Amino acid sequence: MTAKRLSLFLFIGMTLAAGAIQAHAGKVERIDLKVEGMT
Amino acid sequence: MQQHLGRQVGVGKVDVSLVDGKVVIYPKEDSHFDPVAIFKAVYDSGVSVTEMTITANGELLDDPAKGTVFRIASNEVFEVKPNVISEQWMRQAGSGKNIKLRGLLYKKPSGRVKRKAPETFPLEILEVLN
Repeated sequence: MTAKRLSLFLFIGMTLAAGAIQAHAGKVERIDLKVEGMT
Repeated sequence: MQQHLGRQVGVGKVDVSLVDGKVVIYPKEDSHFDPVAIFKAVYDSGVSVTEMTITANGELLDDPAKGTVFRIASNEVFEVKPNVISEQWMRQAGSGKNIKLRGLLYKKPSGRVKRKAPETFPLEILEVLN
């Protein structure tokens, strides 16, 4: 594998990893609702 | 209603208290949080939302265009209604630090009944939990 190809793989891998971390920076743990009209 | 909400995409568990009109939704891991979809799903089950609060992890960021925003994920960003808590956090922790909070996303205006979901859900921070 050439150094150029290796650096391309590394670049793609790091970009994907950064995207995955960015996409899941946080999380909604619970949603509390008050509702009306419930019988 | 419990069954209807439980069938919605991204919903892990739903607890309904008939006595005091409270519903708690626990989203699945890595699910997308869409308050409009929840609003609609609740309405479709025959009742209407008068208040919606969330407990969530994310980041408070200083957005040049929108002011302070709460970012849960790249596609889940809520404008923050400035209050003492948000201003104190931004002053002390700064932009981009992880925060766990409980915040009010919707409260039905007093008076007339409003069945339609609002177009925006500004977040009012009620308390910081970390």
